[in-house]
Amino acid sequence: MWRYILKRIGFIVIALFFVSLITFILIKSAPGNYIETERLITQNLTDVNVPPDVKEAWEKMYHLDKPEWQQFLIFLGNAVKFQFGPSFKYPTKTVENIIVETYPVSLTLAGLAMLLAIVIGIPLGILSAFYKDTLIDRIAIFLSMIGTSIPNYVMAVFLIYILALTLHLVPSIGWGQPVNYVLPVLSLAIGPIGSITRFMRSSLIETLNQEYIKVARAKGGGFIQVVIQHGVRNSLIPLMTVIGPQLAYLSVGTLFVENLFNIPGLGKFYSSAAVYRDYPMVMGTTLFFAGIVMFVNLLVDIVYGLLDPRIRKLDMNRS
Amino acid sequence: MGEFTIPVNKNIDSGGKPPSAEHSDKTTRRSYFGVLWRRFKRNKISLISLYFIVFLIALAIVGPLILPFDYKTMDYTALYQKPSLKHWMGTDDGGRDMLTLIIYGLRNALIVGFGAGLVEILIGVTIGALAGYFGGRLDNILMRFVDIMFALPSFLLSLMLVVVLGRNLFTILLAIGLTSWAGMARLARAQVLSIKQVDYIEAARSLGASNSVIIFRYVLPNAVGPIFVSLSFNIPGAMMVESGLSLIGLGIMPPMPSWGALINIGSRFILSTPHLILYPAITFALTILAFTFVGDGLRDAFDAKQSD
Repeated sequence: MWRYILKRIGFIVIALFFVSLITFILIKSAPGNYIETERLITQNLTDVNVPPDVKEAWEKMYHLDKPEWQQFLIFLGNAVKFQFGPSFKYPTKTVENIIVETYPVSLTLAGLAMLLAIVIGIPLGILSAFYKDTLIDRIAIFLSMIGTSIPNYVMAVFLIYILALTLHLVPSIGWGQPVNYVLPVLSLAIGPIGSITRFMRSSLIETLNQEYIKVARAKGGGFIQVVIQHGVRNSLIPLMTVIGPQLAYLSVGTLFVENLFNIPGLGKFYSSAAVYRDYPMVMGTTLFFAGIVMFVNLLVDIVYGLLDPRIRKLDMNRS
Repeated sequence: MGEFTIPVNKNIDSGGKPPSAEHSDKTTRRSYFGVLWRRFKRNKISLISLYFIVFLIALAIVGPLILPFDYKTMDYTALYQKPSLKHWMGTDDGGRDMLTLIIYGLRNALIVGFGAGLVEILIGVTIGALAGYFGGRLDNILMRFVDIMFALPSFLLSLMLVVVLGRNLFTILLAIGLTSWAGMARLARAQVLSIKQVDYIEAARSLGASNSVIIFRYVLPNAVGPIFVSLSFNIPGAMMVESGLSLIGLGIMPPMPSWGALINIGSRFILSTPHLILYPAITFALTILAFTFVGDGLRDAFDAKQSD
C-alpha cells in the first residue's frame, strides 16, 4: 500500500515537472512581452518603447534578465516552496497570495456542487433502478443524459432564464449573499448528478440480479432491507470511480461558471491572467490546478483501495 | 444464430469488402456497413440526431453563402432587436443579425469539432497502434508518455497553447487536438492488443504479409468501431472546449463569432434581451445532444453482442 502511494506521488511529481516545463517553454515562445503590450493597451500609446531603466528594473524584479534555463530553475526552486513571485498585473501581490485568497471560493462552489450531486444523484439512481423500464426510469435516464452532455455554462444560461428571469426565485446577478450560490452551484451540479444517477442505476440493477438479493427477498426482506442495506451498500464503493473524475473536473470546471456569473474565484483570475498574458500568474495557477487534479485522483484511488480490499490486492501490487 | 453470424464476421475481417460469391446465401448479402446501418436505424432518437447533424453541416456550408447579412457589419439603427421577419433571431448589441452569428458559430464549432477529432485520431491511433502492435520496449516508452499526457489537465494545456499559438480557427483546433488524444491512444492500443491475438492475423503473417499490410489491412479496420464511437463523443467535447475558450475570452478572435463568445456577450444583457443568450445556448445544447445520441446509437450498433 505505502509503496503504491509513494510510486503514485513520484509519478505526480514527474508529471508536475512536465507541466512546468511545457508551460515555461510555451510562455517563452509566446509572441509579445507584457510590459510593452500593457503600455499599448492601458495608455493608448502607439510607441512601444519603454524607458530602458524602467524595463531593466522590471526585468530584474521578475528575474527576466537572467538566461532562460536559469529562470526555469529559479521558478522550479520557488515552486517547490509554493512561491511563484509577484504577478505582472498586480505587482504588489504574489501569485500564491492570489491563489490562497481566491481558491476557497472555487473550492466552495465545487464542494457544494459535488455534495448536491451526491444527495440528489444517489436516490435518483436507486429510484430509477428499482422502477426499471417504467416512466420514472425513462425520465431519469433522459434527464441524466442531458445533464452529462450539456456543458455547465450552457446549463447555467437555462437555469438563469428559468429560475431567475421567469420564476423570480433567485437573483440572476450579484455576489456575496448565500443566495447567489444557488445558480452557480446548481449549474455545476447537474453534470455530476447525471453521471451519478446513471452509474447508480446500472450498478444497482446488476447487484439486484445477484443470488444473495434473491435470497434476501425470498426470506421476506422489505424494500429498505433488501435494496438499501444489501443492494445500495454494494454499489456505493464503485461509485467512487465516478465521483473521483467528477471531483477533479469540477476543481477546474468552475472556471466557466465563475466567468459567466462574475464570481471572484481562482478560475476567473486564471482566465483573465491568460487573456492579459500575466505569465507568473498563468504558470503558478496552471501548476496549482494540475497538482489539484492529480492529487484528487490519487486520493480517490487510495480511498477506493481502503474501501475494497480486492482492489488493494489487485491494483496496487501490479503497479 | 452462430451459423448466420460467421459469414458476416468474415466480411468484417476483410476490411468492409462485400462478401465473395460463394458465401452469398440470403443472410450474407448485406455488407458490413449495411448491417451497422440496420442496427443504428433501430434507435429512433439516434437516427433523428444523425439527420439533424447532416442538416447542421449543410446549414454551416450553405448558410454563409445565402444569408443576406454578414458577421462583421454593424448596424447601429437596429440594436437589440427582438426576433422579426427581417431578423429571425433578432440582433445583438452591435445590430448584427443573430441568426447569421449563430450559423457562423455553428460553422466554427463544426470545423473545430471535426478538425480536433481528426488530429486526435491521427496522433492517438498512430501511437496506440504502434505501442499495441510492436509491444515490448516501444510500448513501454510510448505508454508512459501517454500516461503523462493523460494525467495533465488537457483544458489548461489547450488554453496555454492558444495563448502561444494565437487565436484563429486552425490554432484552436490544433490546441484542442494536440492535448486530448491520450484516451484515443489507450483505446487504440487495447483494440490492437486484442485483435493481434486472433488467428487470421497469424495466418496473414505466415502467408508473408508485412507489418504495415497487417496493421492497415487487418488490424485497424477491425478496430474502427470503438474508435468511431469514441470520436462521436470527442467531437462535442472539442466543441465545448472551443466555446469554453471563447466564453473566457480566449477563443476565436472577434468579430468572428463563436457560441461561447455569444453566450458571454449575451450574459451582459440577459435582463433586458434574454434572446441574445438563449438562442446560441439552445442551438449549442441541441447540437451537443445530437452528437451524444449518435454516439450512443453507434455504440449499440458496433456492439457485437447485439443480433444483427
